[in-house]
Amino acid sequence: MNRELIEILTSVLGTFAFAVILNAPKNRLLFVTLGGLISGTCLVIFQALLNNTFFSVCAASFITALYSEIFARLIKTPSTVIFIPSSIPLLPGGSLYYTVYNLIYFNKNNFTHYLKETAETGAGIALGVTAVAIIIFSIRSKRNAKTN
Amino acid sequence: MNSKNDYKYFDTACEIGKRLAESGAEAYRVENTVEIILKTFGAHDISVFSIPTLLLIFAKHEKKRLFFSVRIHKTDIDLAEIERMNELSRRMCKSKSFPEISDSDYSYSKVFRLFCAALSTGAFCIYFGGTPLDAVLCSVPALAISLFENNKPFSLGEIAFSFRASLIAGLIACFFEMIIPGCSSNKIMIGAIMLLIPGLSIGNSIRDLLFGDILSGTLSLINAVTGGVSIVGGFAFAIAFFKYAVN
Repeated sequence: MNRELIEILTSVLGTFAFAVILNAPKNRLLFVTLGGLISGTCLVIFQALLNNTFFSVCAASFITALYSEIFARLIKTPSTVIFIPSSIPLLPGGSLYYTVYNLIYFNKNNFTHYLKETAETGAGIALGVTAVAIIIFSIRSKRNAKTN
Repeated sequence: MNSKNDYKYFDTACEIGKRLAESGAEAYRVENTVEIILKTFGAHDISVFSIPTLLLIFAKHEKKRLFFSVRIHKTDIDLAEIERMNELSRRMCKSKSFPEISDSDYSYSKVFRLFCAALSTGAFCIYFGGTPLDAVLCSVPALAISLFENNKPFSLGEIAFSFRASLIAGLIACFFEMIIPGCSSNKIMIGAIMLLIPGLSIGNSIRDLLFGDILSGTLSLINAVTGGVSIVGGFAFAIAFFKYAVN
């Protein structure tokens, strides 16, 4: 099977399982798993298009956070409930592990490379989430200003 | 209405805030929810302060000063509890009544949760390039981590827990590579690391920092970094043990 397809399928499966571990409400499991599909697919697409870890993760995180905010309003649940499990495929598990591995084997070049990748992934997730939060807060404060 | 009932809403709002904070809700969500409930029931001069380890609530009701403080002992992320408290606060504000807050309960059976721990690590093992054999073997450290988590002693801090869990997962993975030909301890450990990684709290902490919740953001960031270092430390110890002591 195609490598990209395997990545998308396993990210969906992993997101579903993580949602259960994090005790997501049963009636939200479908939306959460769909979030995993979106984040996994976006990551694969952006990595192929941009070939840059930071920008790929940032864009995938932005779209996942936007999806969480929109669906949270539609199904009346806190956005965190959808976003936390949906963003699991973006986490830097592989690069964090290889950072440690290369530290133990004194491979300085690879250690620096994976450490940079871990930091870029973390920063990318944070920036994507923050960008969506800024948009949501701006819309909310404009709406509040109108009603007052 | 007697005076005790006059302030019952305050106790309920504090309990909802406490449970939200303990279940892993963001600082702004805790503060916002409590503030909205208190405003709805006529409190004024409200100030709510939430950081990962503490919740402080001040308010005035007519001339009476109300105050609540509690030390937050964060357990695991509980999404169902966050949703339940959110729904409860909406209902409370809409009907202006004081609903009873029952204890939270896991929606899924223990066996199903253990199965999902094995499933998630197996899926991420393949996601990061592992083989089906690695994915199956990955379920053993995943089950070990989950069983530890279920029986975590209250006194054991998050850092000590992460270190112990990653050390044991690492030792199991290295042992498998030694006795089972064709499996990769690297891929097994990457699958297992996904159960422990505090990635999201880094995202939340940076968001808190950028939105001006400096103290909450800094504490969450320190928590995430120390948690990450403890995970790394556990795996590093296991790899080094097999590299220098066993081989």
